[in-house]
Amino acid sequence: MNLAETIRSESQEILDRGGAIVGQCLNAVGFVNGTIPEIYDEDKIIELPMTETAGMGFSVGLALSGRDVVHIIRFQSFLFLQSSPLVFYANLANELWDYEIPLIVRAIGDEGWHGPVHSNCYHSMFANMGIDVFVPMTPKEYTQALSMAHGCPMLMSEHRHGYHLTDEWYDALDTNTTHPDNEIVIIAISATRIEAIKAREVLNKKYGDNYVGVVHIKYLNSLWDPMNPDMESVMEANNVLITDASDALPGSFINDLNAMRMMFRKSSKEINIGTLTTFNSVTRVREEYRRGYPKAQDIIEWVEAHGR
Amino acid sequence: MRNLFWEKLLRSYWFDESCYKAIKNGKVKCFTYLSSGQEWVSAAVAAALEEEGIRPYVFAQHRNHAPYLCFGGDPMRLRDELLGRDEEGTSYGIGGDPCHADSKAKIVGHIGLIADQVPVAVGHCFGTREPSVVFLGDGAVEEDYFAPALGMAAKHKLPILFIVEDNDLSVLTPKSARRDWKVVDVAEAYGLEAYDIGINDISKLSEVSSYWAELDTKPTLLNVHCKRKYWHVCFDKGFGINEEYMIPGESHRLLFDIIGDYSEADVGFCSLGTRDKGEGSIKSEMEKLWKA
Repeated sequence: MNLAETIRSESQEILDRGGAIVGQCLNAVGFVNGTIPEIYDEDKIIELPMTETAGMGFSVGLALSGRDVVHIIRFQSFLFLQSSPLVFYANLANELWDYEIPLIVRAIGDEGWHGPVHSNCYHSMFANMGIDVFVPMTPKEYTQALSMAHGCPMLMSEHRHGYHLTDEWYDALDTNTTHPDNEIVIIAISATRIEAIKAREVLNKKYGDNYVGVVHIKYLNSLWDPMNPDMESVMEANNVLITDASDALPGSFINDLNAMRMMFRKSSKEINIGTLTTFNSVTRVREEYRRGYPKAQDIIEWVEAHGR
Repeated sequence: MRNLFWEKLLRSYWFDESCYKAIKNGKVKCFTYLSSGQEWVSAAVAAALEEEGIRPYVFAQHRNHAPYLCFGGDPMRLRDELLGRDEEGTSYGIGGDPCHADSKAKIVGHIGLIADQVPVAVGHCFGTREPSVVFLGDGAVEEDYFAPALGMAAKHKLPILFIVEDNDLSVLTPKSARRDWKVVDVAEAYGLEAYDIGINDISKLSEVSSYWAELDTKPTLLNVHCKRKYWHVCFDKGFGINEEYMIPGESHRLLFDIIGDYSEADVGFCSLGTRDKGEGSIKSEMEKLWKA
């Protein structure tokens, strides 16, 4: 089963236990890339009118009433207008009133010349606001993220470029970065994980096995979270490159990396930390917009510029 | 019904009068949004629904003392929240004034952004299919959250009543400076029943609320004209009476101030004893709260 099929299957389970899927244009346009069950039931698959803030507010209220709710945002650009009820009401309701808001927001990133507005991810800023942000790219990761739901809202940052991926794809990768010979470790997020693997194959062929390691991030709120791979070994490398399909890193990552650099710094070595993300969300620089999220070639160029 | 109405109105009025004193003497430091002048709206709706046996979910906005108290919220917890008492307050002492909630009374918390309670209420009502009442102001109807939520309420035929407390002011800016459209026209366009209710028109407000409760609770909007007595917000460093409210002879004075125009038979204080006794016991109950 690939990721899209897994999302559909998990969605069906949510519906079977009385939940609801809410969003705009759900069943009229391919059932969201085949990621939701193909059923027509106004009580289960709830079509919203073309409204951003009110639509998210509706989903928050529905979750507050006790139903498990999956709110779908077809392109992450809509997150800006939809974020208010999520970030303020849903995110704070438990602290203020002990409310449970079992809400999963599926925000889907993409790229492919749909225009500047529909081509990007914006998940990092929500991790900074305290919303649980998961970035699953495989079926097992998606299921694991869902199992973390605990009555508080969560943001599932998906990417259309990953819907075809399978657990077999991930299991076949040699992603072990605990090898002491890793010169460079790439901490890869979202669709850049695919590109990081491609870059790693080229670079390791050229410079030797274990020259580059890749760490796959699934949870954005803390590098140290058990969902993310063991990060201690990352600091054995001379260079760390973080790649993301979003335009900025979560603040927690920057804090965690600085703290780790202090903790694990070898006596006479400075660790070089670089980042490769998309340019500004709505960029004025046409070349940067054309590039989109970092591709394998961008990663190779960075590594060759910074590695020994 | 009139006893219920006056009891609720007096409770809310005297709570806020005592609260205002507590603000003036520095006991309450947070931004406080008093319902004074507008409490007759919540009192009339709450009394009418209670008479019909309806216990709705209640969603209010930042100016929520009257909805909170008239629908059965605990005044002690309201006071405690305003005093920042973390264990006893409605929102752990961190919500300030906009956020009051009381699960026993089915009063759902508000986060502080005006009109954001409207789609939350619509979604919640969709999930529960239980009668729900949403209080909001004339400024809130201009917010992005509002109109599409009306459409959703109508589309799904939800048992929801929107009460717009139209005091004509968004902070200090009157409606005439902000818009030329009327919210009842907007509500009707979205498919709701909608009524405009004149200032201090308790009878019509009660009648329409009872009608809503009795006859299958269709999505309905009532735009109720009222006047607020105090400034938009009062706190220890800034408080005062709304100048417009002080214009003598105007019909928007607090209903309670013109109670002398009504006979005892009209207001039906029989079961509370004389009007003075009834008022007195509630007044001292609320004043005592602030001495604790």
